[in-house]
Parts: sequence; structure tokens; C-alpha cells
Amino acid sequence: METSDRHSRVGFWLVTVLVVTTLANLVAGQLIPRSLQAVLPRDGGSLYELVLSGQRGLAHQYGFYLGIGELRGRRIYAPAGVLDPILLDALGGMELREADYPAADHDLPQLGEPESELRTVDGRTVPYWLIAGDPGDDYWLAAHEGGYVAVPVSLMPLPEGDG
Amino acid sequence: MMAEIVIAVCLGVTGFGLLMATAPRLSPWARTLLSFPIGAAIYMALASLWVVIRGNLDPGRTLAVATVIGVVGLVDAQVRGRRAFWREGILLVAGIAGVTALMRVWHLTQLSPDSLRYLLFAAQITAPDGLALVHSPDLLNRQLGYPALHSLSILTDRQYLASIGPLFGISTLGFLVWTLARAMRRDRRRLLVVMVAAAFMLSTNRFLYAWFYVNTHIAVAAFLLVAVAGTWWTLMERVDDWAWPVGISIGAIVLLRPDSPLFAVVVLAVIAATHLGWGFRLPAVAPVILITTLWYGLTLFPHPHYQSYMSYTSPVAGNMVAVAGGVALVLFSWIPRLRSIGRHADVITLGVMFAAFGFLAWRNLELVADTARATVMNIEFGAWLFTWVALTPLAVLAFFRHRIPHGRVWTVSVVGFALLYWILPVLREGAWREGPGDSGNRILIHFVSVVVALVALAVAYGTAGDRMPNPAGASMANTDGKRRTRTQLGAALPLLLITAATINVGLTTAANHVGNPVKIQPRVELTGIVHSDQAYIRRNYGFVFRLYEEMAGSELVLRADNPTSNRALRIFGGVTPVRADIDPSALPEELWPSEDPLGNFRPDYTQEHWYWIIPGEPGERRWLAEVEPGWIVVPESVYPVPEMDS
Repeated sequence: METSDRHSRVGFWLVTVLVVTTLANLVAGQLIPRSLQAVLPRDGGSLYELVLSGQRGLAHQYGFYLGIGELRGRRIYAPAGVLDPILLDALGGMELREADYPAADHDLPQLGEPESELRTVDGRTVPYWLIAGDPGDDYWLAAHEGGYVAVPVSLMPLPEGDG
Repeated sequence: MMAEIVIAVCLGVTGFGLLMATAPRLSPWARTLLSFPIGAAIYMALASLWVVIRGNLDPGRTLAVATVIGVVGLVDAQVRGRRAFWREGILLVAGIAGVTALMRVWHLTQLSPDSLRYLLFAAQITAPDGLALVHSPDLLNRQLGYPALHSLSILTDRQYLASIGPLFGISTLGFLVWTLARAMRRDRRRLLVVMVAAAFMLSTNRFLYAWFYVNTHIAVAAFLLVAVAGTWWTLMERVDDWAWPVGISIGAIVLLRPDSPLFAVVVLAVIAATHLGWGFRLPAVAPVILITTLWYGLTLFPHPHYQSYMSYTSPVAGNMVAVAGGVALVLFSWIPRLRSIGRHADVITLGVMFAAFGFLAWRNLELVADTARATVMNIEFGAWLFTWVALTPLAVLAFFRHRIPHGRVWTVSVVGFALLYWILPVLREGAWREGPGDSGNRILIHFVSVVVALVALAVAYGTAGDRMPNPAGASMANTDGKRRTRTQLGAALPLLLITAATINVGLTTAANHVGNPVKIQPRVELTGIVHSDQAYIRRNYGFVFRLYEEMAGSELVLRADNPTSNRALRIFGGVTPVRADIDPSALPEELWPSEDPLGNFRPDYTQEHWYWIIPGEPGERRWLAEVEPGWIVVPESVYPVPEMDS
């Protein structure tokens, strides 16, 4: 092609600006907050792990449903105003049964740190724990340390309630 | 992992086979790079057909049908004696499988609340009554395309596909690199320019982010680049083989976002102004007609949710009218009697867009100023960093001085997309906001590769004033050489500066001082500043600041689930909120204020309420009545707190 001395001067400056910008982008990219990094390795690849490692609001809104979905249960009994049936069905693959039962004081074992926090349908943000049962198990929500724990029926049956 | 690899390979084979059948003379590299996006587009189109027929989506069967189409294309190529595709086919399968495997091992997927809406849509559309189950606003806001792709995850052990974004990203970058490399194939600067362009794209935070972000942006970017570059290559190489890839890409764009039909219309206007005949025009518009009819015409338009506010300005009807207009431009502009006007269809379209923007902006200058401010702020807060700071003046320079053959394809596209960026906020009556999650900040991803292509091609083909011929060999030397370049640049630069300064001053002056960097406030208290500043702040905080003025130090009784933030009431309102089981509608009608409200308040970013404050004694307890005209702060001396009967 043409000799270098005949190359476009404007073209030279266009390329120079592109190169300088590329370098500036790379440097500035190191200074921006972690959440804005273009490439951000996470600990795990399941949707649940991604949500819990991402924004806090996202974990509150969807984390519980994805987490309970990973347990591959069939249905869950919960007091009214706690769980969203649509999210539970779409993300957790489980059916919601609203039930009225005494939810507290069940002599649950030490559960350690909560999995994360759940934003309930009635607007509260509470911690939650998940206890894995067998695939296809039914679960129920027990009150625990100001939050809820999903208990498999195979571990502890649903307490008898008024309704 | 295997299931996701098989899914991605099937999509690639679908595109590859279809391109073998419809575009046999395409370069093998181009065909390989386009296979995944084209395959994904075919799958999305079939998904819209499935939804129309069945009211839900069976992703497995839809993918099977798509793959059969691809295999039929390959068999057709084999039968016709085009057998030299095995090498590129194996490369494609290996490449897709490799990328997918890596994306399953490296967990790089990025999510936002919008991502989860797409995945919810994807999960719900596969249910027996899928279409009825999907949250109605999501049908338009999310569109079917991306949820349909992610619904394939039903065949895997996950609820999303980590490989889709990266495969679109690699296709986009690869196709850009191929376009530049081919345009400079006889230029020894090729390696440098191509590497610089690729490095620039990869250093662009938001472009790379879009590869891993579960959203439609990287797919729109891929299809827009294919549509624009494919049209240009048809003009350059005078083969119609690009017609189907271009047409399928335009059709796919429509299925991805509620605003994307307008981007498709810009490309259609570009095609209308070319001298390409029916052999290109018909395949270029057929897919978009089919997809718009299936999705907008037969699914969204009859949907009860969208019938309730149907008008020409609603997105559903508006998009249908826009696509119909774009298709009409392409078809009518090639009628012999209309060709002389049709040659200017692109410029006329830009003129109409300019006029529309001018009219709409004039009616809402404050919104345009807010958008401008957000755009600037998003250099940092939107993580675009230096990309647009450099790219904007380079694109302006390239626009005025390029010598790209058939360069109007690129320049009109870039101007059209840029205009859309400014038109969309005034159309939706909501300014772009600062932050990485704002729609405007993300829309810029769609056309950054097209702008980089324009700048790089301007380098490749030289600019007016260069003494060199272009890489294709045709002499375009400017005989006056450098002197004329300097003269033209010398005249153009002050003109550009003066124009920019005039626009800057004009906008900030006209926009009710919103954008002024130096502004004297009528009052110095925070409440005064809030009430004299942006409508946005006023709506979100005006009420609580007004409380501070009227009743700081008092108690405010309000119902337990009133969405007003306690923290805002305490910190900005200076009042003590008391949540109680009261009947907020108990204020008798004769006590409702007759004067104009003090403002409107948006406590939860959705509903707005007019509000009044009835004066009371300093320190007196008040309660918040929520009645038909709006919210009224009532002193106990005017009406006692109405306890709810238990």
C-alpha cells in the first residue's frame, strides 16, 4: 500500500486519540467502584449465588425465592403477607399455601448466620434461614430470631393451627 | 454445562445453515461471526410465532425447529455443491462450545432488577398459560426476544444462560474487526487500526459490561452493527447476499426493546436512500414485517392491557406506525417515479427527526437540560469514562471530513441513533438520569460500535485533504493538499466552538436556569432550594421540607403503612412520626381546603399526591388525612386524630 510518509495526518490523530482514550479508560477503570467493574468474577454461577453476591436490594427482593427453589421442594406453607406466590412459582418452582399456625417456639437447632434478608409482601425486611430437606418435600416457615426459617416437613411437621 | 453448550451450538448451527442457504457468497469469516446472532434471531422469530399460536412458549421444540431450519440450509448447500463449509463450521462449533464452557466455569454474569424481570418473564412464558401469566407491562417493556432466549435455560440446571451475552459480545466485536480488516485489506496500517479499534472497544467499560449483563443491550448492539455494516457491504461489493442477514437483524431488533423499532426505522431509512434494488429491499423488510405482525399486531395490540390506552402515541401503536413507515420508505422509494425523492429518504428522515426533537424539546427544555446534565455526569457515574468524551469529537470530525465510499450509510446511521438518544426522553416525558442503571446510559451501548466503525473507516479511507488514495485503490486525492485542509479546519473549528457555545448558553438560559452552573437562589434554607430546583427533588422531598417550615418539632400521626419514610420525616421534616392505626379518610369534606395545593408528593416513586397543610399552633400534634383530593396535614385543634375502630 502507500508509503508511511503519505499516510493521513488526520488519520494519525484519530488513531492517537483512540489509543490515548483506550489507555485512559483502562487506568480510570481501576479507580471506579467494584460494582461498576465490567468484569466481576463471582463465587458461584447459580442465579441464587449471583443474586446474593450482587446488589443488596436484589438479594432482598429475589434471594429467598431462588434459594428455596434450589432446595427443589413442592410447596411451602407460610403466614399471610410474607411470601409472593408469583415469585415463588416463577423463581422457586414451588406452590404457596397460606396457613394460620403458631409459627414461633419450635426448638429449632442453632442455625448460625442467616442466608440473607427477605423483603416480605407486607414490607418488612427480615433475615431468613433455609434447612434442606429431600427433593419434593413440603416446607413451612417458622419464626426465628426476628425472621423466618424454611423447615422441611420431613424434619418437623407443620404445627397444628387454628385454620 | 453440556445442555447449555448444546443450546448455544444449536443456535449457531441455525444461523450458519441459514446463511449458507441465503448468503452463499458471504465471506466465510463473516458467516462464522454472524451465525450466532442470526441463529438467535431465527429462534426469537419462531418463539413469537409459537406464542401467537399457543399462548405460551415451548423452548425445546422451538429450538428444535430452528435447528432443523439450519440443518436444512446445510444440506441444501451440500446438495448444491457448496461443500467448503466444514472447516468454518467446525471452527464455529468449537468457538461457541469453548466460550459457553468458559462462561459456565467463570461466573461473570451481572444482574440488576431489570435482569430478574427478564428471567421472570422467561420462566412464566413457558407455563401452560404463559402469556396470561406474564406481568402485562413486561410484555412491552421487556419484549419477547430476550426472555425467549433465556427460557431455554429450562433445559439446563440453571435459570439463566450465562453464555448468551458473551456470544453476542464476541460476535459484535469480531464482526467489527472483520469489517475494518476487510475494508483495509490492502493497507499495511490494517493491523494497527484494527487492533486500536478492538482495544478501544474492550476498554469501554459499558460495552464489555454488557457482555455479562443479563439485558438486551449487547444483542441490540450486534444486530444494529450487522444491519448497518451489511447494507454498506452490499453497496461496496455489489452482491445482495447481505440482504437476509440485514433483514433478519432489523427484524430481531424489534423484538428486543420497546424503543428498538425506532432504531430499526433509522436503518430502514438508510436502506431507502441507497440504489439497491428489489433483490435487497424485499429480504431487508420481509422479516421485520413478519415479526412486527406476529408480536405487535397479533400479540400486543389485541392484549387487553394495551387496548386500554391505545393511541398513536402509545408505544404499541407508535412502534407499529413507525415500522410501517420505515418499510413504506424502503418500498416506495424504489418505485421509478419516486426514486428522485427516494434518494434523499435518509436525509428527509433525519430532518423530520430534527424537527420533532426541536418541537418536543422546545415544549420541555427543562427535561432536555436534565438529560444533557445526566449525559455529562454519566461519563463518571455511568462508567463510560473517556469513551464518549473522545468518540464524540472524533465522530464529528469523521462526519465532516471522511472519504468513505457510500459513507452516508455510516454517517446517517450515527446521526440518527444519536438523535434518538435525545428524542427518546422527550417522547417518554422523563429525562435520562445519572447512574449506570439508567436507560439512557445503557442505550449508548447500542451504537457505540457503529460510531467506532465510522471513525476507524474514516482513518482507513482517509479524510478530505489527505494526499493519499483510499485503500480500495480509487484515487480520491485532494489536489490542494495540506494547505486546504488547514484552511478548512481553521474555519470549521471556530464555527463548531461558537455553535456549541451558543447552544450551551441558549439551552441553559431557556431551561429555567436548571442547568446554570452559577445560580442565585431566592432563599438559603434547604427547603427553599428544593422548591426552587428540579421538579424531581421537589416531588420526592418537597412535602417533608414544607413540614419543616410549618410544624418542625411537632408530632405527625399517620397510618402505619403510609409509604412516607420515617427517616425523611425526622431528618428533613423535623417532625416526629407516630405510626398508628388511624382512619386517614375520616376528615369531613367541609374541612377540605379550598385553596390550591402546596405541591405534589411522590412518597414511593409511583403514586403522586397533592398536599395541603392546615395551619396550627406551634408544637401542636397533627395527623395526616388521606382523602380524595390528596393528603392534608390536620392540626388536632381542627379535627382530632380519628382512631380506627378495632
